[in-house]
Amino acid sequence: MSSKETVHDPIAALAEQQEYKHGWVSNVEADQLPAGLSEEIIRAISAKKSEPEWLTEWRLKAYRHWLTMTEPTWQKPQYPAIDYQKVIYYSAPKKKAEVKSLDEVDPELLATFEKLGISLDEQKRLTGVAVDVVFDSVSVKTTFQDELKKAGIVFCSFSEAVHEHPELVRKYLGSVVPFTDNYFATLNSAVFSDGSFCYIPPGVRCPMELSTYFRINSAGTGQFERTLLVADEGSYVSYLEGCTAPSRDENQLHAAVVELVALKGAQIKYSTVQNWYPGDKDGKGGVFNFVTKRGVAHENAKVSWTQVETGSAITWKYPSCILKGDNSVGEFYSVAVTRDYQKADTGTKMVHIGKNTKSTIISKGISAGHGDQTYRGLVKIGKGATGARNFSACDSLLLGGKCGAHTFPYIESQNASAVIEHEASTSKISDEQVFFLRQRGLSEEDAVSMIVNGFCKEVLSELPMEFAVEAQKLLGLKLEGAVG
Amino acid sequence: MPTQTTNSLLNALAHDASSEPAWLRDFRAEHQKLFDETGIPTQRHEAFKYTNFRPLHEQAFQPAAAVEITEADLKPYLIGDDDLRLVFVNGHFSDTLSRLPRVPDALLIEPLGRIIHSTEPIATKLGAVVEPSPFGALNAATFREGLYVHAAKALTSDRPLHVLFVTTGGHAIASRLLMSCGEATDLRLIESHIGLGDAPRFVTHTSEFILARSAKLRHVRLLRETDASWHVAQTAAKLDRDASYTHQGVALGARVARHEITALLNGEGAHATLQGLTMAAGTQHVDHHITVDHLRPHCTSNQLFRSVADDRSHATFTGKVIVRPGAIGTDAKQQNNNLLLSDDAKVDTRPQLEIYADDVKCSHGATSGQLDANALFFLRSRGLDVKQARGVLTYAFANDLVEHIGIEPARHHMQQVMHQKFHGLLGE
Repeated sequence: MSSKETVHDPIAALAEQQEYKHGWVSNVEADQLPAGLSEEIIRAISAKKSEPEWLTEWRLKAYRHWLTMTEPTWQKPQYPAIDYQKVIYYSAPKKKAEVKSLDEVDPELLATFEKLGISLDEQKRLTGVAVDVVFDSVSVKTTFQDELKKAGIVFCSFSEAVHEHPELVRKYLGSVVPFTDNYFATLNSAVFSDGSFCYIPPGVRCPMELSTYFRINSAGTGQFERTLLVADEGSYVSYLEGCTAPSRDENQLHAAVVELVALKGAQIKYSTVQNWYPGDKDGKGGVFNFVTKRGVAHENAKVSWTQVETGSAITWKYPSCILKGDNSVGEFYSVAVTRDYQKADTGTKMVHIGKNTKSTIISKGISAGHGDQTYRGLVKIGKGATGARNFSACDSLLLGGKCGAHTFPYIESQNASAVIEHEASTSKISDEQVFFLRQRGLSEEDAVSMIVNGFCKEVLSELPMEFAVEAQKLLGLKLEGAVG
Repeated sequence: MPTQTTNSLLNALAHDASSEPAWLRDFRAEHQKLFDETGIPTQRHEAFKYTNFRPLHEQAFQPAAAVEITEADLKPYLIGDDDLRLVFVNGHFSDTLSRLPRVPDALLIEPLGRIIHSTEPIATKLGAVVEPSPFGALNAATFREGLYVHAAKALTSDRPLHVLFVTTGGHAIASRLLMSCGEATDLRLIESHIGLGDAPRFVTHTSEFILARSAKLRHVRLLRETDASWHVAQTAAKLDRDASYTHQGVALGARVARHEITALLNGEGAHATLQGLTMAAGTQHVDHHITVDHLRPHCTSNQLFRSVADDRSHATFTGKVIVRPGAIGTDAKQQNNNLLLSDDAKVDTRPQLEIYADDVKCSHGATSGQLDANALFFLRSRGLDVKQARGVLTYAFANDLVEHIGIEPARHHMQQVMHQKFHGLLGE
């Protein structure tokens, strides 16, 4: 913790701009399709990836459906209209071809990820984390593939999976988030370029953390990746996702889809640290993060979402759990930080269908500057969900008088035996709390930092160790100038 | 688009305003326009997500007609000696059933139909508080009659004014209540909505309260419509500095009841308490829609809404607390508890906070569940049968609100009603 001598009001300082650390651009030659959206572009994307006919058709079906849809407007954050004809839907670093070993990967790319602190060199990694790296529209490299193969685990880029494991992809693609789901998911279904695919065979406990790192580099591109994760009966996997983008004056669109399938007795833990470019201090530029994430939990299965949302000009996503099987469990832990002109409308949906299903929602929002954030969630107890149980707690911390924090939970119960509890609170850091810590010898910055960390602890402790460190660092950086 | 039968409802409500002053005709036209934009809202309308008005389109209604009822018909609904009461039957003021003995000069009580032609300045008050929701607009455009109450500065009285709106069935009725409480007044009002007879009916009712500085109003609202009634109401209060408004509602019935309550805390130090108890059974549907708007600093608000849903009934609650920029020192609480007594009953709740100021304390909580198994077991081990044990616990859940009703005769009356309702379940 560095101490800055001139900070008097840590909360005011918090609202000041802190430079985005990942805002640089890599000089990588890109292979792009022209901007615009049409059946030709979709066919071109599909052709670039030499996809089978059924997938091309699936994309086109989605595109035709998308044309009939209207952009939703019910969300809290408003944004300037997106011209979908000006977005570049496919951008890939050149010279990719067949990457057999690390030596063949573009050194500029390696340097990019080195700079982001993600080493693609397996030898150099201390921790056992396998990474699939997605640069603009395509997956660049997946590490530790051989080792995972030994356990029977499939972990590769989506394009690779389409060729290597078409039967799995075909069976599960769109099974959780159908292409008709919502405006942005449908758009994604039409134009998704790459993403990660993972299959854990029955009874296998994945020996390492799997992770995907997303980087937007080219200007004018949108990123539309798709992650599909299938945990077969009795298996376990912990999956991490991280993302950054260069600082640009324009708004870039990121519309991803994540589908999780937890079959009987399987457990999936999905963690996200989202740090897309949030725009400058006047709210110019930044990534629009409009993401659809949903998991299905079959009998005795568990789907757990943990997210730390610090980036993006606008975050708009609701990682959800469909608790289909009896005794299945859904969890949602979230920390969202908005400052400057960032806006977040996030939350979850817990749909209880099976008997004795349980769900927990813990959401923490921190709003500073002109930041504005909304928790929006749905807990739905179906008629057959006897003995269902839900607990939700949503707390907001306001730093400064110009920010906003909102809570819009929806609770629908159709079963008398279901027990649902929801609580929410909104407050600021009280002078008493700061005074107490100051009196114990902490600087004001450290005091605020400690209070904020304590506020988020419940969620941060859910992150896998490797990620918890990054998340805490990120939270520190995000609140730097105030909290050291 | 309105269907043929919606037109039947709208035709029945249509009001001939030709003899009314110009300002009122403009007021109605403006609201008619607002209503025409939405029509009867569907469930695609977010605020009406949980309430289905479609069956309304299949029913035919007659224009509200004055029907003779007797004091005996009214008897079960009268509270205490009820010597200060105003009765409206199907939206028409009833001179014979009302009792309006000597009241202080400072208190003006007149039917709206008379007051609009007088010099009393109500043009600026009518519609000044209530938000023009689709049904609010419909009411403003079509209300036929209502009551105007004005209390001049510093009038205090612990004698409650009881206003009864009685329906006899078959009609579409639009009624209204406007009460303006002067500075430092302290008053009590009981508002009863009573359904007699079996025929279907549609009621739209709006109550508006304007509280000047330091005014205090206790308002108890009792809804006892029939299982064939559509009851759609707005209650709105606007509070000036240090004013205090307490709303306590008990909803015992209507086929579909929708009640929108709004409190605008528009002066520093204002306070609003909003409470409601819903006892839904059969196929009843009760929808509460609450907005508490903290517009100024240092206001406090407290909401407690409870629902008991039995049989195939459906109880829904939407409560929003808004804290506007600069409204520091706000302390807002909101609590919603739901008890499901049957597997076919349904509860939907949306407790919401919308906050734009940092130095505030806001919290909300919502629960939904069934009777506690341990408590049931305890009572059964003491020799109560299942039915009695469930009765005792349900009564306790509901009585928490009833026993806090702030107007003594109304509390006493409702406790008796509750005793009757649970009679036999509680033992003697």
